[in-house]
Amino acid sequence: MEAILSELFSGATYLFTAAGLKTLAMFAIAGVLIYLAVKKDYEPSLLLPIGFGCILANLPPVLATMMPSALGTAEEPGFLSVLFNAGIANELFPILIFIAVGAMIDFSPLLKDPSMIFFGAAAQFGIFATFLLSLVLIPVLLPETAGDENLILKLASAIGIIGAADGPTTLYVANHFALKNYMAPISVAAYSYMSLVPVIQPPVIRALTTKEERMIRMDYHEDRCSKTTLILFPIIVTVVAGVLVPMSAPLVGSLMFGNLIRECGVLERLSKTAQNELANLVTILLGLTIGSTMVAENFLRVDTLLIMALGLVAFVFDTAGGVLFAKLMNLFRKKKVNPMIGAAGISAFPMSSRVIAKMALKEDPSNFILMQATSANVSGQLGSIVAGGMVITLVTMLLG
Amino acid sequence: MMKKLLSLLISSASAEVIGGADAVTQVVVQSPMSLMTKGLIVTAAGLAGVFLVLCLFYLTIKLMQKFAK
Repeated sequence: MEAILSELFSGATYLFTAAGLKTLAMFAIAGVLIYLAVKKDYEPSLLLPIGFGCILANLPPVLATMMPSALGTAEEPGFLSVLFNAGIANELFPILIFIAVGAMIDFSPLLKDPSMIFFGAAAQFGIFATFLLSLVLIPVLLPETAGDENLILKLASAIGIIGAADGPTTLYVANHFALKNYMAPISVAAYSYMSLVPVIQPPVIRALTTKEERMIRMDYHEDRCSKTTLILFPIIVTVVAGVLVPMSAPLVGSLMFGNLIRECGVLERLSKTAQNELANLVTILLGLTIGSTMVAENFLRVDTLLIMALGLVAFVFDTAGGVLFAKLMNLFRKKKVNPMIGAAGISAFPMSSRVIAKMALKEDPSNFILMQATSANVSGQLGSIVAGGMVITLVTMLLG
Repeated sequence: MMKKLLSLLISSASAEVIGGADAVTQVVVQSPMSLMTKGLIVTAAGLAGVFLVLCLFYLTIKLMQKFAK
């Protein structure tokens, strides 16, 4: 009788053990994520599934296996482990998400004013600056990595990519370098900073620009791009990126495939499916799966704090890189650009462009720079994928 | 440093031709380099690469605009 009772209430008694306290801490973290999603409306489609996935992955273990049933064991994996192996471990979810994102992106503002594409390159500065900073800090703050140069290089790469605010590319890089033990903090940092664009970017932009600069107006012409241009662009970009940076081909290819089905004009049904059903379905599965990596023993560690902090630094550096590049461009241009546009060169689409447009309207209610910000933002999407591919290629070459 | 980087890039390209994508991961850097040197190479070549590729996209768009006219 006593044995039956202790087995029945093993979950409740578990919560009062040392491991149980960690579980409670993870529940609190999950609660914060769900609160941010529901109350603050910060990217709820991502943060809510991540928070709930975290709860599922940290429920008290089943006595027979000592693992939460949602995760299961190596022999009998639970549904969250099945999802991880099916979608994250083989990079499928990031690829599917990019098809959906590609179907949502309208490249015509960029095709009308291609000079905006350079902001998509400049805003990747933070990736590389943080990569260097991580190479210095990781051996000092994470003694377990000392001496393992390969691990330090791989970890620094994944941390740097967080700065692009591009969740799928971050997952792609972390997964390529088999950083399974660090997947939880890396993915949580990438996706939470993506959703915190409205909180993180404005103070950085305000610190680096004057009110006059933020009020600069920019011309925009409403003429439409030819259909041929819109169809050729994704094909050419795929070929150019695939030839020059082969490691970026899966991500660029899927993004551009999504865009091609949008622009070709004969696959409207597929385009709508990619934009809605595919995007929603993969977002739910991706969020839950990322949440499932937040197991207490992998998450409540010093390296989580370091990764979250460096990820934030990368994001700030990326924003600053874009703004400073725009200010540099203004030294040589007749028609000045609003330097806030540079900050939209990160990958968080369309949040970043919306935030920048909102900031411009706040300074001057008749200053509409949404289309220019969108151009920089879609360039950032391309830039972060290329940067991810470059980092993978270069670091792989340098591994001992 | 640029010389070293170029030779690295060339060796990886030939490895790719001979053994496919997997061979790239097996290229072993012969001369020992400090972590920071490796970091600086990735940073310089990475940023240059991103600008180069996006510059090519820019030229592509400009060419398409020209042909469209």
